[in-house]
This record gives sequence, structure tokens and C-alpha cells, in this order.
Amino acid sequence: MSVLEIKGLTKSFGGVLAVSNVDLLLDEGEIHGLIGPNGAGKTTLLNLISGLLLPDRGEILFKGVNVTRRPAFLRARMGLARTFQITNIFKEFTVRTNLELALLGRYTNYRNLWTKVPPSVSEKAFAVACEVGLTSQFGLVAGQLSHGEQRALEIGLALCSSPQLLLLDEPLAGMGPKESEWMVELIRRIANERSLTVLIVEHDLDAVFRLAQRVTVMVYGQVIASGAPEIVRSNPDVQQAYTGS
Amino acid sequence: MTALLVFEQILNSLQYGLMLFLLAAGLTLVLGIMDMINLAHGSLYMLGAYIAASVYMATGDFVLAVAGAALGMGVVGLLLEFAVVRHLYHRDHLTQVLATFALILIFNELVRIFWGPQPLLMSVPPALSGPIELLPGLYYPTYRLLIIGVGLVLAVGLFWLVNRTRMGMWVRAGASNREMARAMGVDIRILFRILFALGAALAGIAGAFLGPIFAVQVGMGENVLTTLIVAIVIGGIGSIKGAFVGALMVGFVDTAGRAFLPLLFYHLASPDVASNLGPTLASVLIYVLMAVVLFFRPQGLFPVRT
Amino acid sequence: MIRLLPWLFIAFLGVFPLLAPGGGEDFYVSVLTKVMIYSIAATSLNLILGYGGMVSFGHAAYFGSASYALAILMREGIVSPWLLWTVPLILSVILSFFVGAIVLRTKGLYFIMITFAFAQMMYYVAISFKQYGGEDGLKAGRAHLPFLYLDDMAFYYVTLAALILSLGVLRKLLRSRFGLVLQASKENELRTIVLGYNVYSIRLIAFVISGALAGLAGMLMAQHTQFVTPYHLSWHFSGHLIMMVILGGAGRFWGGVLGATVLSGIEELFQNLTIHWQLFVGVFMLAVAFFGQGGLIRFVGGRK
Repeated sequence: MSVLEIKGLTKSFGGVLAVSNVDLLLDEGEIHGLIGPNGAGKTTLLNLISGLLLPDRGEILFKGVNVTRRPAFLRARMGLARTFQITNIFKEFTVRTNLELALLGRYTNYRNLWTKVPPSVSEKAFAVACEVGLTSQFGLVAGQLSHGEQRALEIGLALCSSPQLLLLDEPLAGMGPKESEWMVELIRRIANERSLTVLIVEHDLDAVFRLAQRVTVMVYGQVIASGAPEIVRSNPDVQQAYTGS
Repeated sequence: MTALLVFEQILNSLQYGLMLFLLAAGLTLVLGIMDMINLAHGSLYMLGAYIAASVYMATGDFVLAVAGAALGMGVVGLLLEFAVVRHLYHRDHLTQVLATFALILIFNELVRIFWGPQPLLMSVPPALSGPIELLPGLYYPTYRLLIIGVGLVLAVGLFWLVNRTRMGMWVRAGASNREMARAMGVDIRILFRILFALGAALAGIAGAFLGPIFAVQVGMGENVLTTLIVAIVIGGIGSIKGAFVGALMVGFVDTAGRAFLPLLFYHLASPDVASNLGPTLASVLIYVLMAVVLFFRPQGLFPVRT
Repeated sequence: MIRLLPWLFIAFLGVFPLLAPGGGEDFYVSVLTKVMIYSIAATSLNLILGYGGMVSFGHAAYFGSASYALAILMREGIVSPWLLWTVPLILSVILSFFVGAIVLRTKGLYFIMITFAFAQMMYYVAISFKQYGGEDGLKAGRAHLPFLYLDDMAFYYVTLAALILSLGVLRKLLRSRFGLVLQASKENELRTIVLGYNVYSIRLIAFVISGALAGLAGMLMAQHTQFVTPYHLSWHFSGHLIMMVILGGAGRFWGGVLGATVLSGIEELFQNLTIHWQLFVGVFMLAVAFFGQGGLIRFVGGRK
């Protein structure tokens, strides 16, 4: 069964068609790249999938369930996690508290809302911190971390809910070559270890073609190509979109 | 309940609504463009009324009184913007609430100091105090008709300013996207200052005209502010069109409600219930209206930002 | 050492009436009772404003409606202390639930203005009932308990107990997941939602708890002064409560208590100086708005 299935998704903002009739299919365990020039609607698509925006038309099926109009927090509780293009962490809280919050998100209900944070959660938080390489920064306030460390925390937050689907919005944004290399390895490792399905939006084409098993290209809100990286790479329309436009 | 009575109430609603619009327009632009809540807007209205009343009592010239209020409040608006308000634009809403609330207290007390705690009596100018026969048998106070006239002229003027001039274009751009306005090369600071002063002047005019109808007293600003906020919420923050529709709706519901609801209750229920429930319900009618509008359109009828 | 200061204050409150010259009839006992009531109200607002980031400009509604509920019950001849002590509270809870359910769907300026509008609605409703005092207010009384006659001293201690209870509730909330998520939603609402939290629901719960505590304060006020006034439903009062929270320290545990105490003291001071004391309160408020971020608690220390 496919983890994510999108059919005919359309969204416009006051006359501007941001996402136009997009189809997409993600299999379990797949790393799928989403590329395209700026303004192609990639982030809008992620927002639609994660529930921060509601589409005008179309369907989104997550694990076979129709979530097209389901509130964002419910989709998160189903196992959908995402990162943001601009780092979106709790800057005033420590790395530890950030992760604890993320760990509790999916499993907090009206009954345990009144209890304290159990120590087991703190241990798990530390484990996730190790996983993303933030062991020594565990007690620091998130706002004090370097850009790369904050991006790592961003990924860490997404992992905490043990998601089945991970949406990454330009995880390499603002990173130098060494950090990018490290981030690519991190993504590859966590995707493998956790058998995650990943949809990754990126401008760094090198990284995308190394990570992804399949790639989709969007231009002006439409999908113009989709398939194995080499095929997409050699597609003349795609080449035109990147060089000609 | 005659047709004449209904017509009279419609005219009263129009008059009240148009004055509310003058006030709402200034406030909604500040809210929409500067993203700033200015609770002291009611105080500007009050100050305008006081200035008009004083000028009128001193000179007996009503036109001078209105002009004095408009100009005076324009100046006050400029000074206030420069001294206090412009430091609030980049602050959070909580700070703006606290600061402008403090301004209300300060203005109220300053008025008490300069004019005393007693209400001022501003009478309708004698030339305008008589009724006009609009239709055979239908008499309507000349003064209120004048207010409607002035209100309509100013409303048209505002619409023209916002929709047909360059400054208006900047205003509309700024209302929907502040960054874009800045990118267009508009000196935001000057624009804000002029806008604020314009809003203050309009508030002053409204105060001058409504002075003879409502009492000129400390606290008149707060009463009107509540109605104003309801009108803006209904109309949609930042939108002149919304302010117009919202103000007229509120003007109508409030005026007609107060006039007809008690009558309705008299017919439907016992006099006891009517004399209690009628006025009570009439006073909350505008809030019911607001709740209904918000239910269908949480951002008001014509919000500027999506 | 400085961390103990607030606790010393509570201890001071505990023993003061016993040491006071008038032995309970004292003017100061009455003043401190009022300060404690305002402390409860300010603390309740601090929960949603300071910790939750919800700028509610209509908090007076829950305070005042509980006051009025008590007075109206008494006016209608209800004498049972069970009813008198619980009905106003239940009313506050119901009111804050329904208002919150509607109002929390909005944000930013809309939220501020709509909370303001709803509170004003209740103000106008209250003053429109001529048989319940209209603009002049209504007499109330003390709801004496079967085992305790509420003279000034007894009532003082009941109020102190209520204050400690309120602070206890706040403490429990802040240490739980609820408190953590509430503060998270203030810090970064989007992130909190995307992590799977029902932020609307959390905020509504906070709003209701806050309303209940404000109702408790309102009910106590009506009994303390044995009079209810529409002022306690007005936005002037809402503004005062906001002022107390900011002055004391928004999002700090003792912020409400500190702000209520200091503001009451300052107003008392100004009132004795000049008839135009409101001018000075206004200027003071303006200064706090511009320079007072963080509140006085910065100088006293203490934890969040």
C-alpha cells in the first residue's frame, strides 16, 4: 500500500494557481525528491499535505485514509512529520525541552495532559539528540545553536513522533558543503534505520539525485516529469525548466 | 408603527452609521496597515467634540467650530503620532493595548482638567434647528440631514482618495502587504503620519457634528469605541469598504433595534417584560450581529488580508 | 534569599490580621483583602496572557459576572451558602467556555477586539437591568457558611486560602504537560500544531480555568465590599488587570500577585496626592508599556 497518494490536487491564491492538478504516489520506504525552480509550488504542496493549507480540489490519502480536509494536528498524530524551510524550532526552550515536546505530541491526550513529563521521555529525547548529532548541545537553549545545529534539531523534532511519512522542506538550506554532506548522510541513515518514507524538497540537485529513488519535477504548480533520477535528469523539458527559464 | 416612523429611523440609522464610518475609516486603516490597535481613537473623537463645543460657544459660528475641530485634531494627531504612536508600530499588540489604554486615561483626565468634569452643552445651531419637509407629511430635523449630507460627501471623498489617487494606492498596497509597499519606494513613516492625522481629523469632525446630539462629556469616547470596534470587526480589518458596510450595518441595527425592539416586545409580551427585556436586547443586538457575521466569516465581510 | 521574598509575603499576609491594632476591624485588613482578590484575578489573567500568549481584553467579564451572579442571587432571596458559593463559579466556567470556544478561533488583532466586544456586551447587559441596579450597582452581602460567620477577619482568611489555592492550581498546571504545551503554543504556535497538539483545545482549557479563577475573585469581591459595580465588567477593569500582569511580570509565577499589590499601592498613593490621580496612573501605565517589559519581578527574582 502506498504511504501517500495525491490525486488532482489544486490550490490557488486569489487567481494565482500555486498547485495545479498534481498527482503523486509514494511507496513505503521510498525517498522521493521534489524539485523545481523557485515559485513552482513545492512548499505549497508540502503545506497541503501536512494540513496547513486546504486545497481547492483534489484528494490526499495518507496510509489509505482520506486526510484532505483533516486538521494539521490530527495528521501529525497519524504519523506525518515535517520540517520547515526556515528553521521552526522553539528558540527559547532547550534542545531537551524541544525534543520532549516533540516526543509527547503524538501521545498526549486529555487524560495524561495533567501529568508531569515522565523521565523515560527525557531518556528518549537524549537518544534522538544522539541520533542527529546534538549530544553535547542537549542542555543548551535552542536559540544559541549554530544554523546547522538548528537544522539538525529541526530534523530531530520530526523524528520524535516516530512518523511513517517525513516531509523535508529544503533541509540543506543555508548550509556549506561540509554541513550539507553531513545532512545528506544523516537523512540517508535515518531513512534506512527507521524505514521512513521521505518526501524531500531541495534545490541542491546533487543531494537530491544521490538520495532519492524517484524524483518529481514541478514548474509553475504543475508536475512536468516524474520517475527515476537518471530519466528525469535527461528529460529535455526538465533541462529547459532549469536552464531556459 | 407607521411608514413615516420607519423612514425616520432609517434616516437616523444612516446619520449614525455615516458618523461611525468617519471614525471607523481612520481606525481600520491604522489597524490594517500598521497592524496597530489604537484604543485612543475614541479620545480623539471626544477631544474633537470638546474643541468644537468651545469654539462654537466662543464664536457662535458652527462652521468655524467644525473646521476648528478638524484642524485641531489633525494637529493633535500629528503630534501624538510623532511623540507616542510611531514608537508602537513595531511593538507587540499587548504593549499597544496598554499604551493606548494609558492614553485614554491621560486624555480623559486632561479634558477634566481643562474643561472641568461637567458635560458641555453644545446646542444645534439655530439656523439648522428646524425640521425640513422631505416628503408631504414627513419632517426630519435639518441638522441630522446636514450630517447625512456631510457624511456622504466625506465618504465619497475617502473612497476617491483610497481608490483613485496614488496615495490611496499606497494605502491599499500597505494594507495588504506592508513589505510590498516599502519595496515600492513609499516612505512608510510619512504615509503613516499623514494617515494617522487624517484619521484624527475625521474623528474630530464626527465629534463636532455629534456633539449637539450626544452629550459632550468625558467618557463619550469609550462608548463610541465599543461600537466602532464591532463595526470594524464586522466589516473586516483594514478595509474602507468594510468599515463603510460595517458602520452602516451597526448604525442600522443599533438605531432600529433601540427604536423597534421595545415596541415589538410590547406587542408580544407583558409590559413588565417589555420594559426590561426590550432595551437589554436592543443594546446587545449589535453583538449578536457581530457573532453571526463572525460565524460565517471569521475575518469579517471584506477582509483585506486573506 | 531573594527567592523567598514572595513566600515571606504570604507568611506576612497570614499573620497580619493577628497583629493588626484593630484586630480585624482594621482598615488595612480590608485593603489587603482587596489586594488579595486582585491578585487572584491578575494571576488568572497571567495564565492565559503571560503563559499562553492570549491577549484577552475582556477578562473583566468573568470577574464581574460572578460578582453580579452573587448579588442577583441574594437579591432574589437565595440564602443557601452552597448555592451562593457555587453558582457564580459555575456561571464563570460556562461563560468562559462559550466565549472562549468562539473567540479562540481568531487571533491577533481580531482576538483582542472580539474579547473586548464580548466583555462590553456583558457590561451593557448588566447596566440595562434597572431592577438590578443599572449603572449604580447592586448591593450584595456575605454568604456566611454554616460553620463560619464571615466577619472581616474570617473573610480575610477565606480570601487568603483562595489565593493560595489559585497559586497552587497555577503551579500544578505549569509543572504538567499542559503547562509545557501552553507555553510552547505561545512560543511557536505553528510548530506546536505540527507536532500533533490540539492547540485550540489546550487554549480553551486554559481559558476556562482562567475564567473560573477570575470568577472566584469576582465572587469574593462582591462579598468583600458587599456591593457590586458595573466597573468590574468594564474594559477599564480589563485594562487594569492587563496592567497588573505586565507590571508584575507576565509569564512569571508571582507576576499577578506582585502587579496587583504594586498597582493597588500606587493608585492608593496617587489618590491621596491629587484629584487628578488618573492622569498619573495613565502616565505610569505608559511608562510601563514602553519600558516595563519583563515586569518588576526582574528585580525580585523567582522562577517562571
